[in-house]
Amino acid sequence: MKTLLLLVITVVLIWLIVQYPHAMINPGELSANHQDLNEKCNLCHKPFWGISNDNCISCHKLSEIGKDSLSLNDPNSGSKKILFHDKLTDQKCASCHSEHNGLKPESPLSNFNHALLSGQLISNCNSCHDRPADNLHKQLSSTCSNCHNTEGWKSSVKFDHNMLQGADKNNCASCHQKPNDLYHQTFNENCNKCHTTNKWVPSSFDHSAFFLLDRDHNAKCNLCHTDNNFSTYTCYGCHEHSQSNIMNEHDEVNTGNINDCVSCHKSGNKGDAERNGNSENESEQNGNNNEKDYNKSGEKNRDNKQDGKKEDDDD
Amino acid sequence: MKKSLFVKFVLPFLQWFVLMIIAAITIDYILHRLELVPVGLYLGYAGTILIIISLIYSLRKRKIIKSGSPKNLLSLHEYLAWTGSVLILVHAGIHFNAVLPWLAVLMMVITVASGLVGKYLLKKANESLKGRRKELVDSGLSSDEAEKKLFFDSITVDLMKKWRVVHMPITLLLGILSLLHIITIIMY
Repeated sequence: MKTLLLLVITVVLIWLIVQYPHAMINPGELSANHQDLNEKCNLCHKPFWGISNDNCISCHKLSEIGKDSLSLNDPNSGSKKILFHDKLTDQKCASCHSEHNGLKPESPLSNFNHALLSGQLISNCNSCHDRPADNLHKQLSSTCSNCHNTEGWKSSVKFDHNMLQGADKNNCASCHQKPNDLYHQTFNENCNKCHTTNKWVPSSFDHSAFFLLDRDHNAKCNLCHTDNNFSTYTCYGCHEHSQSNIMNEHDEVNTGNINDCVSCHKSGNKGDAERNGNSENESEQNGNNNEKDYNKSGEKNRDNKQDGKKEDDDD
Repeated sequence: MKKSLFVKFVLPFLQWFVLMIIAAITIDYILHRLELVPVGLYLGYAGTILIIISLIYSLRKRKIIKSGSPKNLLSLHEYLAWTGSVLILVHAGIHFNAVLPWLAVLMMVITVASGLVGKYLLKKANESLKGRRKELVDSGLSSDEAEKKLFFDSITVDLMKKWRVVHMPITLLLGILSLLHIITIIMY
């Protein structure tokens, strides 16, 4: 009796599946444009054989796929560049596209993978992608894969400045914007006096020529150089140094300027002033010429570097 | 005051059932967060294999196979079937698209529930009911008065006794629905 009951249930279930496949086994709604295919599973699916490309191509001609939508998505590129489906004759449509994702699926693409493309296509990125029209890419003659990979346009970008060619190779500003702080605005010289092409930060700028950034003073630039101006500074940005404290500390020295600390203290070390042997007058004079000294020191620093480089060259 | 059978046995049983649901939701959430949703497909395979392996106990019980300790195989049956059910719940996800796979999931949940009744409740609850009835009779109550006092406990145990009536046919139905689900997937 039980066996018979189970047999009847099985037969009923099979009958329901055959009669109402959409309700019984449909894994998800078809997209809005394919709604007329509901209940007609066998139009796309061949039992035990999967989905034939012919069924898709009978409506979607390969040479026309993306003619409207892809060019609309990217108004800067010509549609001929991205109509690549006619070169994919060996691939199954379902390798990339899947249905049953709902009426408004987030993307009709389920699983695009460059590895599905033929060798000829995958080695020639420009057969599908336009070359960017910016200054940087105009100077490059190398293949895209030297910097980019197929995982994503911006992922794992490995740019080497040696790939640049032409007159702009040594003109950093052709690609990089000059920093708009007042310090950088004072320079018209080549960036490579301080920076290398490996990394923008750190530069070879030697801050210790002006003030030693020891462990207690390893702060962000704008803590001391306020107002985006690197030719001036203040030491009154932290709790250790208040004007009243400093005035009390300097009673005996009787310095006339308590704002230009660096003129006496070249580091955070308290003994700096004594070791430098600065007199009251020197301090006052230095304090009045704070900005001038800063630039002068900077020039001296750069001159020293150039001299050093020259010596190296001579060696 | 003595706790009722429901509090003493049914609630602990429920925690295993709820744990199965929570484990499935947690794994499903993690897969979605890590964008590993397609892994759910393979969890369906893994869950099915685990449940099929757990049926070795049924073969041993019916003496279709002769070797293996029934006690150990029962333990294996319980844990593998519970784990497999968690994986299949993740595989099913919270999608109400088609009737057939959801009927299969429903049957699986009922099967697990009835299995947990057999494992955790029936024997202990029966012993507890008998013990309490004896205590009441020993304290001077008549059999009828003791039965009246234990009315709800008796009903609870009677319901539990039906677990086998549910467990076996629902398991068979689960097998049929799962097989049809697999066949339709292969077909289409």
